[in-house]
Amino acid sequence: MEHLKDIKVLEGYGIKLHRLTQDKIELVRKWRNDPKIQQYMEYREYITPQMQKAWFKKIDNDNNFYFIIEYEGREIGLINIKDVDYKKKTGEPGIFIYDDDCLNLDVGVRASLLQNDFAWNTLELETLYGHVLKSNKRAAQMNAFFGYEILPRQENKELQKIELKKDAAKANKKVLRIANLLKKMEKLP
Amino acid sequence: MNELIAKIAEILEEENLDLTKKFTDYNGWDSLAGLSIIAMLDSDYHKIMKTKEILAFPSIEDFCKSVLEK
Repeated sequence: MEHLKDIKVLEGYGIKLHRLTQDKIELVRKWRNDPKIQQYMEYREYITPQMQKAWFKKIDNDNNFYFIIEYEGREIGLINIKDVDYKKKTGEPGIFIYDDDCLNLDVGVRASLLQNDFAWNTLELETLYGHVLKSNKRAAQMNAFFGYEILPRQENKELQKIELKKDAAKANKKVLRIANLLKKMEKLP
Repeated sequence: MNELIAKIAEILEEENLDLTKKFTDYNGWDSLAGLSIIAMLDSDYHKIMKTKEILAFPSIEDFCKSVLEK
């Protein structure tokens, strides 16, 4: 496994993911407190600068990977894998796109493809799991595209548990086809 | 052109496609619909087009003409 502390930037599929640093946590706090983002989060209370600093102290380690998404030179959102358990080979991904101009584009898919490559190939995880609000239709469609499965007895719950196995992800022809297309595009002028 | 229009209508889940509209005028448009169109262009028309380029067309009709002309 690569030395994780040295990983500052991931690049591919036409985007860059920059590991979150102290100087960017206020930007993330601003995004995170915006009602358009807050409404889809499990924690929906206002986040103060002190809370944000305490949170960053808790996540600035090799069990949590938070990245600012950069697309065409602009910082447009946040993506992460948190609570990485190297023994169980699991982690919980999350993403939000703050920039409205990017919502109709495929930036979220690009960022997720890049982060998933990182999860499977660098962190050597076997399972990604998550919790998603049933009301978040956009997230549900995206999760279905990537092959996440809703765990048993979750269908009627507002907060549903989902998971994606590495083997299933690596065999997902639809996702592989899109990944290859986006790689092909990356090489175009 | 009808074949291409039918494929777009299927992706957007829209029975009666108004060709004067833009892709984003339809509720069926999202990033995954965009990727489906990109994949369809690649496999059926051997064209590579980015989502941004697809959305830059003033109407679906202009997009279709461009795909079939190139």
